[in-house]
Amino acid sequence: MLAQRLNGAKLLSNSSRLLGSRCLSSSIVSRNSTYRTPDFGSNVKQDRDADKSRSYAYFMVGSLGLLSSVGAKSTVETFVTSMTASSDILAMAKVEVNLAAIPEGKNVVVKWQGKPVFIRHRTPREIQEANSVDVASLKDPQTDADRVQDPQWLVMLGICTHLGCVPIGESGDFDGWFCPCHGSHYDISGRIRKGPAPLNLEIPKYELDGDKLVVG
Amino acid sequence: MVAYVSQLAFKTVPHFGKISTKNLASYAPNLMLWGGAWASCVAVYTSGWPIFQDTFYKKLPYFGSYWVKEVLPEDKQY
Amino acid sequence: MSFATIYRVFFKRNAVFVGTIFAAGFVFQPLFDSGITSWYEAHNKGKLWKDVKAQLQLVGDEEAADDE
Repeated sequence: MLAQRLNGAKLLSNSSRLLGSRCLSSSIVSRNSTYRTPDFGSNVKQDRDADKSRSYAYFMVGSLGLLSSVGAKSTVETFVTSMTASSDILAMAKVEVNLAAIPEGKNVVVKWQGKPVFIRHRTPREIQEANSVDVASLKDPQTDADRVQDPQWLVMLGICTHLGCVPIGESGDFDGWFCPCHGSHYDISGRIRKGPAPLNLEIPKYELDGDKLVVG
Repeated sequence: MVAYVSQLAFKTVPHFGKISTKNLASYAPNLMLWGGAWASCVAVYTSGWPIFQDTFYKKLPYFGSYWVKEVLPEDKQY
Repeated sequence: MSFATIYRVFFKRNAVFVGTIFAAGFVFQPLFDSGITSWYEAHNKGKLWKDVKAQLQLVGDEEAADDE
């Protein structure tokens, strides 16, 4: 019994000598433990700088965040960009017309995105006629000035607003366009005057640049 | 004359959920910094977006020229 | 600037940390892109359209000179 106690005391003194101040636990298990805690002293840096190592770790975390956010953005952008119109589509999106070749009082039909576009070089008399109409009496009230950029040139989509036939030029009761399908009459400004069509002929987006017309 | 206080007068600070004017004011600087962080996040994710490029990024003082892509007229495909 | 200052300025507040990351990301994109592009153009010098176009223009000018 005594021997045992002596032995225990010896062990305790032994372990506490080994562990030094690190031995904080006073439980029986830890007191009786024979585990020798290694001395890490030689591995610990002499000039430890907590701010340096901490900044290094945060810098690495931040760099990962930067690269992954930019990478995620680029990935998303690649997929979204793949949905945009390709060059061949964009090349078809516009059509150029040389207006110098169209004499006064003549119609020209060009194809733009699969649709006919009517271009009319109007005479001064026709411009006057288009402006003399009482706007309030129209089915789809629109002044001639709203429908043209240059009164000389009338550019509009050649699709009847009723059921999508192509109207015939220089005919009808109003000397404009006449749709043979159901008898809609359009005037010299492309406005619906008589028949089942509800709206005026549509005006596409176009630009006039001297003698050059760009539709689209 | 002795003025007696019969009970303590409690009054609730006007609040919306857990947010009251006082703690909102104390959070304000931090929230503003978060706003800046959010704005730069939006900037990262819209830097390839043409309308954002035209409105903002092309006007940046030093980096702006990066977003200006010049194609000579003879090299244009359409 | 000591590491203590760096830590205090950039990393202590999460809002500043995240904001700095995104702001740096925004600047990083054009830099990275221009860097890669200039490396690519240096690597493929002579094969790019701008170089070919310059050569074609030279040839075209010579032919025009020959015609005269």
